[in-house]
Amino acid sequence: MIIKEKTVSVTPKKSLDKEKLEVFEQFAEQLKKPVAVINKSFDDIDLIKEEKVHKDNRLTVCNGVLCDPLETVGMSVDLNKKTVVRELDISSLNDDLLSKKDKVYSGAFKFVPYCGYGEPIFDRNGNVLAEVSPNKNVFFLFDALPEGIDVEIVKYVLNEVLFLIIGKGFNDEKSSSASFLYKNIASKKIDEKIKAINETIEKANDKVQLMQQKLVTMIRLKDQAENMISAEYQLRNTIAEKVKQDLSDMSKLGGYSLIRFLEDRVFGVTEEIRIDYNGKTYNLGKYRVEVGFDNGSVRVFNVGKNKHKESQDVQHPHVRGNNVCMGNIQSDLPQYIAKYEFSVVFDLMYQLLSNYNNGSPHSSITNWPTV
Amino acid sequence: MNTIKVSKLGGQVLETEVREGESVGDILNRLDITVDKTDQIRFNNQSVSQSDSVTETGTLVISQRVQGA
Repeated sequence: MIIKEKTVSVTPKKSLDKEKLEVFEQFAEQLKKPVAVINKSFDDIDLIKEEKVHKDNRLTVCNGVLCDPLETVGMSVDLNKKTVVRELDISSLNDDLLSKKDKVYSGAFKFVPYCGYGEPIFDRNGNVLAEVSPNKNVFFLFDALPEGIDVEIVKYVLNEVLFLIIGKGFNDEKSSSASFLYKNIASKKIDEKIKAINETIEKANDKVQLMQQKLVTMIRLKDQAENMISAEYQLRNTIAEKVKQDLSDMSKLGGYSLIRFLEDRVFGVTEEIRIDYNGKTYNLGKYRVEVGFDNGSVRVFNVGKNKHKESQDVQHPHVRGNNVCMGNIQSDLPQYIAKYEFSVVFDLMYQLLSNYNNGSPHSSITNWPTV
Repeated sequence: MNTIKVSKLGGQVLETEVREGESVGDILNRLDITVDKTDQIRFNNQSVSQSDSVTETGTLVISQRVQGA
C-alpha cells in the first residue's frame, strides 16, 4: 500500500465504500502516488463554490484529489508534496481545522480548472464520463451520470486515467477510451453506411417490384400474342382441310356452274339468272362473282350474252361497275368473308343476284331481255 | 351420318352432325335456331322446308329474302 498517512486527519462521518476504496488504492498503487479521501460532497463546500469550481455541479478530482461522487467522498493526493488528506469530513471540520482548510483545500484545489478543458474519458457508447486535465486533475461528470457512479464505473474511469498517465491500466487488458471512441465512431460510420446501403436496397427493391409488374404485363401481352399467333398457325394448318371441305360444299351449291379458288380470290360462275317481275320473266344472264381473300372485296360481272340493253357499265339492276348494292346483307356478308365461310357467301350472293328490288335499282330490270 | 354447316344470317356458322331421321326443323331446334315465317331456308343454295331431310354434306342458310338496294 503506497498511501501515506496524512498530515491532517479527521474521522469521516461516512466511511468510503470498501470496494471503491480498494479501487482507489489500486489506482494509487499503480500511480505510485499517495491517495487521501475527503468524505464530503464538494457541493457543500463554500470554499469550492467561492472558487467557482463546481458551478455546473460536476465533482472534480483535482491534482492530488480524487473524488467519489456517489459517496460524496473525496480522495486527496498532493502529488507535489506527496502529502495525504485522507477521509476528510468537511462538515466535521472545527474552527481549528477550518483555519487550516485554506491550506488543505487551496493546496488541493487551486489547480482545479473549469470542466471541459481536459482529456475526455468516454464510456463504451462514446459518452464522456470524466475528464483529465493537463495537470492530471480528474473530473467525474455528474451530468453524464445522473444515476450515480458505481464501482465499475470508477474502476473503468481510473483505468482509463492510468492508461493516459502511465500507459498501463489495472491489468493488461487494453480498454482505452480512445479505442472505444474510435470503435464507436467507426461503428457509427459503418451504421450510417449500412443505413445508406439499406436505403439503396429499398429503392432498388421498389424498382424491382415496378419492373416485375411491368414484366408481368409484358409476359401477359406476349402470351396473348403467342395465343393469337398459335390460332393463326392452327388456322393455316387447317385451312387446306377447310378449303377442301369448302370446295366440296361449294361444288354442291345450286345455282353455280363453276367454282374456282385462285391464289388471291375465289370466284363462281352462276347459271343463267331469271327473275319474274310484273308478269314477265327476265333473263339477266350468267354472272361471275369474285371474292378477294385479302381485302374481302366482292365484284360481280355479267359474263353471259344477256346484258343491259344500253349500258355496258350496268352489270345487274343492283350492280354498276364495281359497286354492288348489298342491301340487307351489307353488314353480314363481310363477317362471313372474314371467316372464310365462302359457301354462305356465295349462297347469299346468288340470292342477291336472283332478286330484284324495284325500290332502288341502279337500272330497271326492264332493260334486260325477257324470256 | 354427315356433317353440315348451319348459319342464320348474322349469326355464327355452326357445324353439326345430322342424326339419323332428323329433319331440317329438328336440326334447327337442336341448335336452338328460331325461324320466322318470312325466313327462307336453303340447303346448298336450294330452297328446303323444315320437314325436309338432308342426306349429304353442305350448308344450311336461313335468311330473310335477300335484296339489293
